[in-house]
Amino acid sequence: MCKDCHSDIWGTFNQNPHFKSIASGKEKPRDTGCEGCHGPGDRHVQAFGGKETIAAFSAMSRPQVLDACLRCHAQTMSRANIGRSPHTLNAVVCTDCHLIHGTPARKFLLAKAQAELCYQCHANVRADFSMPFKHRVNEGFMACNDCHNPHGSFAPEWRMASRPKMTGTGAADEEPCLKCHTEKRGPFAYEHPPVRIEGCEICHSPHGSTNSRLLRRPVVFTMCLECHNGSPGFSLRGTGDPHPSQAHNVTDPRYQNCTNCHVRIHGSNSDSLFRR
Amino acid sequence: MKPKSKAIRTAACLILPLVCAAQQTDVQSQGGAWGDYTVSSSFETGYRFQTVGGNDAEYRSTVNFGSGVKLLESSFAMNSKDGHGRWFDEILLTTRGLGGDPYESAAFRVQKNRWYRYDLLWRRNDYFNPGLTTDGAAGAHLLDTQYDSQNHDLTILPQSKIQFHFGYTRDSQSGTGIATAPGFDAATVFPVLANVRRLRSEYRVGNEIRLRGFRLTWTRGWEDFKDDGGSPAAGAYGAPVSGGATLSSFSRTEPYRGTSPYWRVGLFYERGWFGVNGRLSYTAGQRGYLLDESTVGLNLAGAAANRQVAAYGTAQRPVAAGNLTISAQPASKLTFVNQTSTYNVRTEGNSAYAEFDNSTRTTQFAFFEYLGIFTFANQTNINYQVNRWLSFHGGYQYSDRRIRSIQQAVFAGAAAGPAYEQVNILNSGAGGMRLSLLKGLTLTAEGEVGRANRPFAAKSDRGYHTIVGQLRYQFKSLRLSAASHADYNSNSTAFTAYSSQSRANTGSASWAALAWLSLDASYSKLHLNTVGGIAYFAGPQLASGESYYVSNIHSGNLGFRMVFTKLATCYLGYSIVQDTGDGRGNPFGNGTGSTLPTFQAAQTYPMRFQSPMARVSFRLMENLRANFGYQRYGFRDDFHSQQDYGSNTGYVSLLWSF
Repeated sequence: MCKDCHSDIWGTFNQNPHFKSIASGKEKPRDTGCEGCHGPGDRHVQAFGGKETIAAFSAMSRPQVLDACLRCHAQTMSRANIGRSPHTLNAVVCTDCHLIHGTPARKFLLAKAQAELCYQCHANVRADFSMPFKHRVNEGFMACNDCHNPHGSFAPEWRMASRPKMTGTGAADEEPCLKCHTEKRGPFAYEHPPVRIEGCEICHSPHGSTNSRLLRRPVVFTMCLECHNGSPGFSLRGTGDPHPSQAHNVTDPRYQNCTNCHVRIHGSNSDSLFRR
Repeated sequence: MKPKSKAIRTAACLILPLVCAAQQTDVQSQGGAWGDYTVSSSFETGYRFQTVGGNDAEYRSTVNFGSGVKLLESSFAMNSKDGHGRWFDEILLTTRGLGGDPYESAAFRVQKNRWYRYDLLWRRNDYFNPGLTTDGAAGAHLLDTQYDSQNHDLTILPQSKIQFHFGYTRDSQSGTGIATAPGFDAATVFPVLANVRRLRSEYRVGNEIRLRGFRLTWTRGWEDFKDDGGSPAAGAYGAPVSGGATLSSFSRTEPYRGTSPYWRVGLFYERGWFGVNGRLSYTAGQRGYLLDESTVGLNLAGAAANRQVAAYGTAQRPVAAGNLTISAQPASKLTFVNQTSTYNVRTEGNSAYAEFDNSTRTTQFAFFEYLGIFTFANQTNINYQVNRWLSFHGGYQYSDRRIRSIQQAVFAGAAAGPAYEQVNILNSGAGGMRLSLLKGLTLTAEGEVGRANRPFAAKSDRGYHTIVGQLRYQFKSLRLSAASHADYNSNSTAFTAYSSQSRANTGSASWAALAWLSLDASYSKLHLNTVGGIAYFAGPQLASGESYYVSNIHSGNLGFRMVFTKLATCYLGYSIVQDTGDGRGNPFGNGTGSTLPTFQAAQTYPMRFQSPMARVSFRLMENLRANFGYQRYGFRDDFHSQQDYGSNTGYVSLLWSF
């Protein structure tokens, strides 16, 4: 009956993932079709339409929108943390990103290309991905959800299990970076401990950077020396990360790019100084 | 306006994002009927061109579009009309950049309602990373590789209470590069040729069961990794990066094999006001490695020298992680969530190292760094909605991380080195509010404060706080947003002080002003300044001081989309990133902190990267359009011009949709 008035929605609804519930023929009436989301439509029909006579999402409060969708979708494990996600806490709900009745982006009913959706609120991230060195999100090679779970994630297992939030994980509950950069995962005979303990972000800006290799500094030696300064209290032994020996005259340009020699800086199986 | 025409214009406005000269399908195909199915598809093929002036290596590292005929973009969709297709109900195929673009991808889905769903995602990236020069410190490494990734997922009975999942992932990277290897003395490092051959394979099988409000999932996976890279027998390449020795022959083989079988189990339950969500995972990582390296040449004294190094061993890294989230909604406006997580990893193994200098064994020892990390964290969040327009949330987290390590190399027969242990405890609290002042106007603000007592590194979080505020306004097609993020961290000891301050202030707007005109604009100011203690040798003298780094990045994006009836669409865009640094006009001026010019020059990095673009699309026939795109990329390093480049890229294409 709905299609008599809402033919524009019904016309392409067979391409909509929600059409499955209609096609199955086994769902309870309250879980399928238009009434599955909009509730009973008797009053709506009798009144010849109107938002007041049906559960219209545009008239719902944001928590109500979330609850309506989660009635079916809460059980998927990737959405199991949605209740504590920063998106939910800031009242960003499903219809902010998804067009339920159909969308030009065919997958996941996204209202726009995924990155464009995220940029709507995260303009600083758009700036990151406009940098000369960046992961190829704007080029379509990667997507935000390769590394993030917009529906909420468990606590990260690196750093102090506190920050960053809404980040996915690799196979061994590690940083998502290692899903692609597997060669840096190890285990190595000599690990560079910050990689494992603090994560890649201590040296790299994962979205984008003005510096090559997404480094946080334009030259390598300043970044290394900010930790390798001999300051007591830090490092595995608590004696501080050692500063370079006298053999390194940092006024000489050849000693300013530390990874020229310490080539296996993420970890090595044969050299505690990461030179091979 | 006719509804269909309006729909086409709306779709065009939605689909044309401000990205790059990578094409976008202008108009979504309306499709047609084919038996019991509806079919819609589009293909855009054409010629891409590019010219580069300046540093081509920098261009390949940052943009990398080439010339040639490409299948720029395509899509094909087939859906059953009634959801009861004989073999399938949906086939969906989309591709992008096929034919040699540096960023190629294809996604394929086929599914039959209730019976199966299969997804494939394939991606290929031509990756070029030269040894870029910044501030006079040339990088000696280069990578010219191709990265391929394919991911397969098959779900049997996707709408059933018992589902079966199978998956396979294969990632590979292959190509050539230039690496470095140590010479015959501590000061000498040689550039050497290197092959890159890495392969990661992952197999997954799992099950999902729903019963009485519970959902149980388990996945058993096997991840294999192998690296057959190394340097070929004639691996010498050029003069040494440092030192004065001479390399005449170098070879290195270092096969590396590993497997990481894992289990993941998840349990989810929600009933009324109460929900539980738990996950356990265990990964038993293991690696085996072998290094055989041969170096022949002349040492610093000019005498013939050779060095043979052999290293071999195994490593294990078992990882166990657990998470438990309890959610409760004791009142309709009050939500309570508590999450506990644990993480335990240890890296251990055995390894042997032997070195022969001029055919005489000089070094032999067994070694391994033991590294164990155990983290426990508990977090509680409360969200209270006062009324429809006001809500508050707050939370507290306690984290406890223990690190244990044994670092020393062990000569044969010697005792193991002492163990070191450290404990870091983090207490952090967060709070925020959301206020809807008017219809469509929302203000959100939140902050977090954390204190750690034993940070691991000088740059780690110790005393940090973040403040985030965002104002959003939406009225019909007008969307305005302004946000401010501040992230401060201070980590000081008696010897050094490290602090970082980053602030990001952003504003963005999007508006479909008219039926034929829409625009997107955003501006961001990203500010970062850090100060940290450093110690270094400047010649024979040990010096210490502070390292400053200042960055002021202005980033802007602007895009106009215009739809001139059905006949033509146009998109104009501009993107700029400019770091104004600390305001100085030359690398050695006005620096603070260290008195060394080297450090002062590295305290800031002013540069500019801008990219104007234009794209037009003309309708030739009902289902055929001609497209033209142009995008320029310009990179300028204010202090070092050797990496500057300007490139013109574009394409001419035909889009056929039916």
